[in-house]
Amino acid sequence: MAGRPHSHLTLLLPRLRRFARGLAGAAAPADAIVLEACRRALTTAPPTTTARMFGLVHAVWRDTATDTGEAVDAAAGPHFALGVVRRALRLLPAEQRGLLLLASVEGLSHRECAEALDLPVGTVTASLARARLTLGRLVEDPHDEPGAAP
Amino acid sequence: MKERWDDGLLVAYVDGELDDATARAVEAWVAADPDSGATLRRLHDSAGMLRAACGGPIHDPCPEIMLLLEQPAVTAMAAAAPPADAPPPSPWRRPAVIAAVLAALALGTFSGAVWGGAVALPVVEGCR
Repeated sequence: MAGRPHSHLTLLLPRLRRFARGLAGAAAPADAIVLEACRRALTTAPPTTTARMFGLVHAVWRDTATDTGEAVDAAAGPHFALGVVRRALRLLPAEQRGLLLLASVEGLSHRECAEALDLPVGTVTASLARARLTLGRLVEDPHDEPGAAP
Repeated sequence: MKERWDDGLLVAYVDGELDDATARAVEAWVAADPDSGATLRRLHDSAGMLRAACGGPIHDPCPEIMLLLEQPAVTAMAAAAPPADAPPPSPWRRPAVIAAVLAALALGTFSGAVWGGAVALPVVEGCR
């Protein structure tokens, strides 16, 4: 990559793709989501912040309703426990799924999560608490219900 | 069932969102309340599970996206007005303190460690 011009989006790309995979459950649809999010970002001015870029990926994912459960299972391979976590994540509402990945995996602050998903910070904090406790319950008992429809 | 506000404060603590004074108050609170300590552990463990399941690096290339981002108009736009974002923070902003709190809770060493509203933590260096 040396010698090529780098944009903010280029540097952010691996994290955006990882976030999209967490949402969509597989690489191919996730990359299609990120591609569309980048197209949308390039039509906006001023330049998109990191938080808003994650928000764009989340918005495209919600628009396309991409969710490949079988691919999630296959991707887990022999790591059964990781597959259980990924399946539990898929049972959560779209907003909670996004918040969990943004805060716990991508390391966004609650304020950045709020900017990404256009939510009040207090709502982000409350949703994160609820989502993490629900996720833990679902991992312990996969037959449990999350209590809210996606 | 716990109040949602309480769980929100605990998740804010786990995520390093609180100022030092509030964080110390939370530590005193969980030291005195086993239920809150258990909730803190669940919130902490849940975040760790997610990182293990979904936090791996992405190495494979995606030519379609790179082609889009390396168009001359895009690189010119990036050079003209780079975003003011700071580098992403670590996903785990208070690892040593939280690990120490959870270890103390597990060992029961918090009993007697609360003095004057503050909690003596075994490890605090390098955090914040």
